[in-house]
Amino acid sequence: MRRTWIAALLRPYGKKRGPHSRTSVASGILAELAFYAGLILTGAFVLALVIMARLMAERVGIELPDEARRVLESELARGGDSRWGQWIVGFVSVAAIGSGMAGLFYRLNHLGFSQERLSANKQRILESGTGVVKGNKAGGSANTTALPETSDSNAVLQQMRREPTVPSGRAGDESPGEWLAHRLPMLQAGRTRILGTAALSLIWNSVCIVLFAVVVSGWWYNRNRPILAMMMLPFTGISIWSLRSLTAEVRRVAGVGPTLVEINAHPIHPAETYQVVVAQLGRMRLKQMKVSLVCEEQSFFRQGTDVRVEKHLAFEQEVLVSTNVRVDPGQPWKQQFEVPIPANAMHSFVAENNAIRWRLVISGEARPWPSFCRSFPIFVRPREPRRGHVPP
Amino acid sequence: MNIVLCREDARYEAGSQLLAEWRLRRVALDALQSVEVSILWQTTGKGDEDFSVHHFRRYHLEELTEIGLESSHPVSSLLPVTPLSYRGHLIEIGWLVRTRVFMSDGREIVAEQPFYLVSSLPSPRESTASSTPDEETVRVDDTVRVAPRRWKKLIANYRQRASS
Repeated sequence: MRRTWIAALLRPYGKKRGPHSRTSVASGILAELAFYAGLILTGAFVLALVIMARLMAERVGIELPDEARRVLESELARGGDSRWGQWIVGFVSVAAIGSGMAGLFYRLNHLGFSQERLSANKQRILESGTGVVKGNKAGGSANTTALPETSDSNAVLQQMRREPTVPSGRAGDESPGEWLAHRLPMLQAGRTRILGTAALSLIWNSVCIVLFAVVVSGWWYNRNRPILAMMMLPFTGISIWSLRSLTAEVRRVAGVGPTLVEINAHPIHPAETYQVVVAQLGRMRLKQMKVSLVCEEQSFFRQGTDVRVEKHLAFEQEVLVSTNVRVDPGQPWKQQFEVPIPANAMHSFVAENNAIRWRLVISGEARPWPSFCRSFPIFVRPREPRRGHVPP
Repeated sequence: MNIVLCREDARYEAGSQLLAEWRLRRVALDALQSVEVSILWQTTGKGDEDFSVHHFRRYHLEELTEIGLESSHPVSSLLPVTPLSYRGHLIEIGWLVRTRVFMSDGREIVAEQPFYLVSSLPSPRESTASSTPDEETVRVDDTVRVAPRRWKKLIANYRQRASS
């Protein structure tokens, strides 16, 4: 037991084993206290050095030992050779002392606070900042945080409608639709991949061209480089492969025309049916076009210094499948259909480390263009609570 | 320490009122420092934990002396609409009433009573007509698993007390 506690205290990073964390809260607090104390001590040391070097050493007139003189004449104490160097070093050390003291004060002031108390304090601060007032019990005790229990039904309803952890459902790039009320924005995926492929292809091909020029110039001036010339064969192979990958990526992203998705109401609610229009623009022949309603669980967890994400498809429902689809520039493929939302659907949920996201996924199987898959996020809100309902 | 909810099935509709009672037994008042009662939701599962306190109240020693420990003390709060209780593959969202007792010797004792926040409760007619719960309750409710969990916590608390 004792060995485990010491090991947990000395472990520099956290690790999660299933639902349990292998790092203790105490080690985190101790590390935080040590960090703030270190910040204060370092700041105080550097500030003292600067003050000594600037003000005291010359005026006091004491014969200092060589070691002390060397320290006072160091780059740090003099602030380099610039005119304002000492002031900048002094200002940075004062800032370090200030932030260290503020952190230390906050941590010591909240030492022994339970996580519930810290969370309640945090929410109180956040809500006072956003203008949402939380009611305290009679006596105005700062220990109580509760929802206002007022007879004003409007205020209660407004309070009830507050849906923490549910996204507002108004994405910044959502726009009014042409056929239905809302046009859903597309989840931009694959842009970083094409940038990476393009960068790799560009760098590799540049290197290959330079090497090719070296081989040709060697042959021209009778300084043959047979090993480099041999090496050019696999290098050229890699170059062709990178160019083909880039072409495929460009075809995948730019070759497929835009996909438009519109819905008659947004955000949506469980147990309701919605009208959806999907339109595919461009010029292509598709073997199959599929529209699915998908719910995905996402979990973020820290492993050492990495943040990892795990995804799980909790729900998938095919709402439309079309075969032998033909898309022409003058005649885009357009379908209107109904999407029923299951009655037991979980609402969209976004917290710091966990999320439940709903989206419409449009996937097409095309020839000769590569297949594509595009996602359109939708927000599911919970069903409206029954007004005036009192539990038995 | 025990926490009793006003509903036996521990199922509450989103936006409804939760009433509960907590009680401390076999503890001398001078052995206590303070008691915190909170209503909160938390996530468990593969990801790091998220949690948020919906209702919080701290009782200092003076207040405990005033209200006494002989009787039960009420906790009341209007529950929010979200997040609803959820049991998924990677994520579980659970609601609970948590009582944390701070002893004067520095120890902390925690007791929890989970409950379920559901979007709608079946009407009395529905519940009498059919004994099987609807789809949603099947998904979010799992009362069978609650009992072993509580037992595990009780045993862990007992072992902690015994070791200390």
